[in-house]
Amino acid sequence: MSVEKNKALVRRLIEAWNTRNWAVFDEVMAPNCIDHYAPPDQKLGREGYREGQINITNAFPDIQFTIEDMIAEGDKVAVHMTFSGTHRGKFIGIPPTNKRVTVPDISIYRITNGKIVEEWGFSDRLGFVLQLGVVPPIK
Amino acid sequence: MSLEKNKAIVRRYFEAVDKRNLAVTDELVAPDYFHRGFQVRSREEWKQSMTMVIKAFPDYHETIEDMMAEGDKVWVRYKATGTNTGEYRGLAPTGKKITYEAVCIYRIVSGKIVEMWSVSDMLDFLKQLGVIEYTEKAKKLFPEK
Repeated sequence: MSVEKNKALVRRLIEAWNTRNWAVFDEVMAPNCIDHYAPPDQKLGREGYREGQINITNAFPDIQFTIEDMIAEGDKVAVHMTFSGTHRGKFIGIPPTNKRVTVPDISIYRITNGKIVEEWGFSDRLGFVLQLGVVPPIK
Repeated sequence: MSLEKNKAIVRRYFEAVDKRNLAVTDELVAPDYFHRGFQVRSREEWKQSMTMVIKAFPDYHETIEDMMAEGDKVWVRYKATGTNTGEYRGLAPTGKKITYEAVCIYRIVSGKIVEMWSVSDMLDFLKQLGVIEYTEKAKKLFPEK
């Protein structure tokens, strides 16, 4: 798998989120894909990952992921993204605040035989909860 | 600048921090270096903030878990650990051992780091320091690692 093909695969995944084309997850992710740092109540594999994305989208119906930068080497692709959305639905127990959040995220994907098999995702969860107003500002 | 040379610069930078040899970073970091995440706008400011971290966590250590390079950038996934035995930003030492992971992106020009972006889970970090307390519900969603 060339690095350009791997990058194209990750772009397809991000486009699928942005267009809510959930079926594409079957094409780009292996069924037993590992999601490091997944929340404890997330099911294993691709199903859990897809459900997690659907839950976020239900809570932030206008959520969009923008690719700021992307790198690929060997069997991995890393993406620096910003996600923005308005909090209109209950999310992780937090009732809708109608606040708009903009959060940076870096996700690293490992690809084998044309499918994502492993993912490490880092996002600014502190910025996220501060923007939602559920944590008082830290002095 | 080759990718291998850029990776070597970033490895040397991590080693310099580990050996507490911040002066070596003069060779590796441009004077007007800019960290976008933490709004650190110069090498001197960076050294000051790193010095504060080391005072608060004398055994502070970063381990490179993964590294990728392309163009003028190097991306590093790393794990940081340290025991909070010193005061940190006005907070009394907690004695707690902290672990957090992050990804940093370094842009390298003419053999020096000129810019950096990072995304890290400061929520978990502050919780480990005891600055933030979780509700019962939150403890279920974000269990202690």
